[in-house]
Amino acid sequence: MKLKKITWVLMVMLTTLMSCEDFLDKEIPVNYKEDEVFVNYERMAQAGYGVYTFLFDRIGFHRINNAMLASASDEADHADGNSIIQRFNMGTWNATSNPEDCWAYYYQGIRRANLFLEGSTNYKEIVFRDNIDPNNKSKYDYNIRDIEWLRAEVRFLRAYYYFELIKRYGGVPLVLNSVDNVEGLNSLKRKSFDECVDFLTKECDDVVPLLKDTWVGFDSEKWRGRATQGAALALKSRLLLYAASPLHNLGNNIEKWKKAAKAAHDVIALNKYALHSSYSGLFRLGNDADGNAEVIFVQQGKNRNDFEKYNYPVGYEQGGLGSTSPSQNLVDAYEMKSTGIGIKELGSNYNPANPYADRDPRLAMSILVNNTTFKGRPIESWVDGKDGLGKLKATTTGYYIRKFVDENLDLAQNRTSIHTWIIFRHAEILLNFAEAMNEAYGPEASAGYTLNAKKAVDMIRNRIGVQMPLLPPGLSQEEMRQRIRNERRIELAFEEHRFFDVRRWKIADQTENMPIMAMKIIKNGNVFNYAVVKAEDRVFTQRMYLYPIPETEVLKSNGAITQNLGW
Amino acid sequence: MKKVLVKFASLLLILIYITSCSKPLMFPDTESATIPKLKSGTAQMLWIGPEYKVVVQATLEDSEGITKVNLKNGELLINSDIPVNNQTSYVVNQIFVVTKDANPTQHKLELTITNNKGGVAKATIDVQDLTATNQVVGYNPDLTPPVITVTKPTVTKFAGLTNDPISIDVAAGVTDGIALASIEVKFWGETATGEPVNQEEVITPTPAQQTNYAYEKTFSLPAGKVGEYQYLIRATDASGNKAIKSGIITVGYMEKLYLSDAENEAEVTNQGFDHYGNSRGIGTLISMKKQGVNTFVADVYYRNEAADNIRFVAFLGTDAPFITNQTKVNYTLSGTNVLAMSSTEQGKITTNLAGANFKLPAAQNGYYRVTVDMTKRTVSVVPLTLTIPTDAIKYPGYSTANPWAYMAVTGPPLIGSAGGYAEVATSPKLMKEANHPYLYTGTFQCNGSSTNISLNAPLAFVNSNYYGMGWFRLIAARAAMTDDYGSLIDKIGPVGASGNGANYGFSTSPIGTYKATYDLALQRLRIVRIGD
Repeated sequence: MKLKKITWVLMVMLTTLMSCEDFLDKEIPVNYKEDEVFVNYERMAQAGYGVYTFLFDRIGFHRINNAMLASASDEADHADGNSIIQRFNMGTWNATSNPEDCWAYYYQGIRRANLFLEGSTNYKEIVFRDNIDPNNKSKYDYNIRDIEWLRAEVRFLRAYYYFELIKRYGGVPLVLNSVDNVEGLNSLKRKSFDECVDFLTKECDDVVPLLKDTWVGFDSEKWRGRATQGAALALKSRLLLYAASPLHNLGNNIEKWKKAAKAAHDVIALNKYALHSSYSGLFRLGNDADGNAEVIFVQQGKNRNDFEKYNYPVGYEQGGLGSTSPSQNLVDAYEMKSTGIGIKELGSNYNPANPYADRDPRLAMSILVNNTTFKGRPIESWVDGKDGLGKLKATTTGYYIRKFVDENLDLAQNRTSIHTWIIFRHAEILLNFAEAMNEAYGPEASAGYTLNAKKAVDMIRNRIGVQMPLLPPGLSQEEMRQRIRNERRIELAFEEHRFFDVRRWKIADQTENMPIMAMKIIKNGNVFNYAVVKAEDRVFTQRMYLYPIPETEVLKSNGAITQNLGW
Repeated sequence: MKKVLVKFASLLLILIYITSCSKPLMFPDTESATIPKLKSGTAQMLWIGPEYKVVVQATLEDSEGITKVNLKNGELLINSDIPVNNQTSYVVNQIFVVTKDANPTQHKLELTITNNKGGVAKATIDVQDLTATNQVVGYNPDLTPPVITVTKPTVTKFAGLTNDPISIDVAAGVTDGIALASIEVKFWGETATGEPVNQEEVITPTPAQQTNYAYEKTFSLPAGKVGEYQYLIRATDASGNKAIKSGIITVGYMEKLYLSDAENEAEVTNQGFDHYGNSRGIGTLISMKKQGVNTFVADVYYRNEAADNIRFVAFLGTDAPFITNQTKVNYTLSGTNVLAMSSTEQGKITTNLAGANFKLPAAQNGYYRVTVDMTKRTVSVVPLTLTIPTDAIKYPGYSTANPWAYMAVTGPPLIGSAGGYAEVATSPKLMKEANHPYLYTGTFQCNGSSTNISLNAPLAFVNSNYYGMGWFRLIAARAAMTDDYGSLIDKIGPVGASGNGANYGFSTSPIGTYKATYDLALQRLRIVRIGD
């Protein structure tokens, strides 16, 4: 396991806090040794903040060889055919070559967490040594309180990193201390998925009362972005939803769904979160995002414009490399605004000659479709248009991504803006609740909660500015399941949910084997002719429901770590 | 000798490397396997009766004998292996039932043909789309659903703060080109306390109504109770096509809530505002931040005195406490949108103001986080510990143990200010209130001009640097300061040196005498005009 190579010196090299603002942006100019770290508040706190750094590289914007994870699902195609993300789509990935291998990365984060938790055990003594002067009492109190919060945050982060591992690999070894000896590391065995879930559930439960409720409005806002009670409860909600899902709940144990429903409702019952009034604005909140009622936990952002450079339509003079090309598969999933049903359904009002009219408003807020005005001119996605097929690095599907994109950046002048990636938000919790309630109790049963599955979905559909027709009453459980899955696909598009959702629902062998379809647009005078064509085939096999454990880890373990089936 | 051996070995390795790289790769001289061929083929997508089908016909040839053909199209979910018995010529005749395309789509059918020597050939056939016309002559189903046009309700959010019954009119026009079979109307939901509402009816239009039916009905909702309801109209025509329209009605889910500490109506109508910014925010209202769906929170200082008059003022939709500008107050202390804590039930809020005590549920003065749950109609408080940071620039000479005795009010519009921002002997002052740690109260007179006014730390502590120390003004540009609902509001706080902070003071009008209280911890300035 690579984590055994991590030395104490590396642990305290907190100079890698490169992608965040404020407290995560501090650098330690020297490398401390083990016995030089946990000697005062400042160094100890920095070691704790350092655990946050692992929130950044495996979540978020175009992080896989300039591609979004969405491009490895049926949400999008990545225009650059040479990007390693294409291996996912061609099925040419394995235990030695995984475009998104996270094993070593998250175990590094977990080790840092363990080191901090061990080293800061006697934090009251450590802080006190720097605060002998009675006049520093308030500072001492502040520092003690901060370390107490930080210890809870680090436990939350460790749980989050474990969750990121188990959702990819299934059950993993639970390492809860900083094992340094090779024998100890090589003898670690994988726990079952359920054992991991039980541990992480308890961790979430344990840290909730120890976490702060909010960092907004506290100490001149300088700690914004740190984990809160809501974040831990949201993690538990997502964790238990995954645990109840078909991939990990083979016998469809209803009790697991009930637990997932309760965990989601625990977040709702905080009565702290609500849906933001602007779906399009939600993803452009900058580092004030965690002050928004919908946002539960974010990856604090930094000033950047690389996302725009990759994703502005290719015809703009200010840049635009054409990167994430949303699929026709996804575009077709957006319902009709006037009827509230899918475009293929009878009476939907869908007009194939005018395919983007009367659609769920979230389509235009998430995806740039042909002839939409963007940065002062209409998008020309037609063949030989400024942004269309035939142009170098143009979209491969006829669409560009709009979600997350800052339309107002002047790339010619290298202007930047803060890009914040939302990790947990209220809409996801409502959808978690709806899914779990439908599976546990049915579409419209409240089971003593303040809302039911239908109502939770209706709240999302009724968001200001979206206002899609409500779901009809009387849906069967299967009909509601399909509506919830589609709502999740739309509401959470490009947010790194779909890739894992189709796996936990065990439908990836259908959805991820479907070709990625594109819209080929021909312009005749002022008339557009739309025809769907295949952009590329996709390959998904049964073994891909879980990632392979990296081959090196399996070999090093001398059989202690077993490989996932089929790899 | 050792060096010679090393050199020799190196040369040998290089030689081996070069020879191995330069050796031409030779393929074995064996006969290539024959490759099967697609001689001809067609694929058509047809609309036959109610179904869509892809019909494939193709002729395949191979001199060795064909063993297998695979037909594949991912998007149409076609993936079919056809075993062939070593035939040198084979005709594919296959029909696949598929789903109708929503868009015109250029499908290609992929054929993978294998012969008995292992030769494999791939070929594609374009799928011709012939679905514009049904293949069954005379097949003309009614595929058009009814059309529902909802004209009522036009108001979907109700405050429900009184005990007056709430009636909801639902009206819709329902049309169909052929014939309406039924119209189902449902109105359902429940109050926050679980009291259900469930009314529904199914209407069968008469022959005269079958192409155009006008629906109208009034539904009653429980009076004075928070609740959420839905209505739905579902129309079905004779061919089974359906259309649905629905909506949500809410009662008691408020969008804005303010805490008012005006002692009387005069303090409402005469409350202060920032003249230059054309905005309230330094008066007697405190906006409460919405949390969740119907809960509101604000941090306040509670005096716990006989004159306390704490009320909560609620608004729906675009309704707000002030219309257009500060001169038009849109609420009174006794309006139907005003609630206060019950005098008989501690922690409950009521619109029955005759039974209210206008207090917070706190036994002593201090800072509190006030939470109002408009669903449960409760108010609760949690004590807050607020401190003033040690900052020699912003709070020169200030400590909790030794607070300033006063704060000076300075600026050209002020009577007694000598026209500038430096404190002079005649400058108006807000004096530190006894028993209230961070409150400074006093009066000042101003000439009503829009020129800036500041608060200043006592002159003795600012060392004549009144532009750089202990200077209290707008903490940001006016346009950047909004309350929890996006309305302009002024927050007055220490701005540090003049070059660092916003350099705009507040202004008041009209001309007159004002009573002001500044809260150093919450940075709240409360002004009321008390006379000429």
